[in-house]
Amino acid sequence: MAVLGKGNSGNSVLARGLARWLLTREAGLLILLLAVVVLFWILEPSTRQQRVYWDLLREISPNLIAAIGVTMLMLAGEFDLSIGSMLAVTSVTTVVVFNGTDSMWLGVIAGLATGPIVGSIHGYLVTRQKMNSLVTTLGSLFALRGMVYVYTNKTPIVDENGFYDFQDAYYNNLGPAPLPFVLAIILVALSLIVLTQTEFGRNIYAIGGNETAARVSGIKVNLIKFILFVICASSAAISGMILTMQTGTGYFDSGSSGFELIVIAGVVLGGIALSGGKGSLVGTVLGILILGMTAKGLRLMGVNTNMQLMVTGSIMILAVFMHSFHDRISIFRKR
Amino acid sequence: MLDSSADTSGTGIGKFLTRAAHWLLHTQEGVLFFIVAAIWVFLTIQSPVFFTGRNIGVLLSQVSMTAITAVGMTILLISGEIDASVGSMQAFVGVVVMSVLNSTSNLALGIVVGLAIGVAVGLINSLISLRLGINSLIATLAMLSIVRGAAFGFTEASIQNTHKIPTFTEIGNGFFLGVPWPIIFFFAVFLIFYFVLSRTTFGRFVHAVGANPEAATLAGIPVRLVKMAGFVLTSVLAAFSAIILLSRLNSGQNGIGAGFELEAIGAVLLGGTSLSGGEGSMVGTFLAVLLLGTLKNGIVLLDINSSWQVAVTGLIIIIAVLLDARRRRRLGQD
Repeated sequence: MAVLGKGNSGNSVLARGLARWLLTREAGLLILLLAVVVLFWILEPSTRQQRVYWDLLREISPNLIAAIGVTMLMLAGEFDLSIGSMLAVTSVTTVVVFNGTDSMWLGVIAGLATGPIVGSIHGYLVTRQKMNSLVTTLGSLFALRGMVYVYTNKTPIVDENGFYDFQDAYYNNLGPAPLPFVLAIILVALSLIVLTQTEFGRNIYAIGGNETAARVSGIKVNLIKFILFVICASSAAISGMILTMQTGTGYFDSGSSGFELIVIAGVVLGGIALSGGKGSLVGTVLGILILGMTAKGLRLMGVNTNMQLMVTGSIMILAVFMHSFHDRISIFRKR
Repeated sequence: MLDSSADTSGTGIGKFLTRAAHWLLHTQEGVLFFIVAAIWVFLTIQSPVFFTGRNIGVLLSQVSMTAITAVGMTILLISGEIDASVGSMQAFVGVVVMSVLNSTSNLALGIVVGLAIGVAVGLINSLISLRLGINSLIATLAMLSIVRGAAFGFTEASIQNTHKIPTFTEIGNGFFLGVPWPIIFFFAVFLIFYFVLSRTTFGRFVHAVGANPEAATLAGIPVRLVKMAGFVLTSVLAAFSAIILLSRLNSGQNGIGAGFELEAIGAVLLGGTSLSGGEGSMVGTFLAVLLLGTLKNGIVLLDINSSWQVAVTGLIIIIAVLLDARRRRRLGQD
């Protein structure tokens, strides 16, 4: 790097910036994503169509949106394992209210309202009752799913009104981009601004880095954590809404096949430290895209759905190893 | 284990009672014991079937798989690591052991192969976590996917029992002196590792390693070796659970055990073992497993919609953690 940065001309500043960026986590992830895309490009001819990528972005939007909330919460050192069950809560609530009121908007509002409600409960239990968030939300993973099972008796709830506008929102495009993806990108951009440009965002990093220090320096730790639990459950509710649009039914098993694990895997792959305080939302987006692209590519190749699991698992190990390797290099460079 | 400030009285019985009261009121184990006892009394009153030898046998047999895995998981969690891959182990060990039994008709060989898979996966887990320095939650979540994939790669359908070895069926369904074998395995594993954890050097090492790895290293404790033992132990016990499960199901199914890891880890955490390591209780794990099993059993006996099982499991976890949190705060204020 020192070799690159002798002169002061624009070119070398640019080269220096580029060189520095290439050593970041995000660059490593972007290279990994490109490698995955190129690999499938070579192995599977059907991935050479543009359509495949737009489809991928549409399908991955719920994961992206849920990952925003999970990322913010994990940056502050807390967890929410219940997001998979939240999808079903939102989905069933939405369609039940559709059928009960014959109003699409009331259904959407009711469905989205489940997020802040569940999030507030988590926030109260963790910040007021001082309960461990991982175990608490493991409990609500079961409790929420169970309540949905009891309420629906494990039968899907059909939208009797057939609100086509509702379902169209999933399948329509804005220009070439799928609407759900546009929503996801807007939410990511807003959250990125909040995380990097506001005091609230800096406080989240401070809490995750050292909670006691943050509290002593006057940061309202409990209030911020409470808000983050609400944000996390709400982003899961938005994901649940999008998945409900996709099928038009209230599905009791929505998100039950390890949605929370896939999202957390993407977030961790993106470089968010499990202990909090470290990582960026850009990394999360890349992490989710890498896992999504891998799954889609393998699916297109006709690989057994469950063999996909093996590959996804291996990629996770590879990526996390990359992070720890990267950390070691950074330490080395500083010396 | 017990706080020395609790024993104030002089006589033996008085001392015992104060200690018992302290245990009941001031520990997570006590809280769990109280909840389990309350539910048992309630179910005994509500259902004539509940407190019969037969039903208790069924209840304990059903929880034996989770319990045996949870014993290993308790030690691993105390040492500061975790293993999420135990759910997929139920499937992979099951299909491999059944196919070995079918082709060789040699029960000992089948069991050895099953336990060997446990050792191998445990070693891989510890290699990824300890050598590559990857957080064990992530490493074993990845292994959860990989081992599940291996089970599906091994067979596309379930493997039926064609060897008809009678002893094999006995493992999960037989009785010894009137007690079901799974319960005997469960109690034996529990007792052995209760003593290992509380009475041996290894047990003290596990606590030390989990509480403060740096201090443990400085004190000359082989930190990596202790953690590796924890990983291998958990995996082998998960494989043992899988063999019992296989015998009970009488077929090797590649999709079995989804969510098993959450149940086992949930029970350990519910039992009062800390996620951050260094602190935990084998008795707590035992009571937590018993609590979850009792709830499932009770819901069936009282003829409640079985969907409630999932909801009640979740609510009980939340209530237990809530009680524990309140207890900790109360002690903190004292």
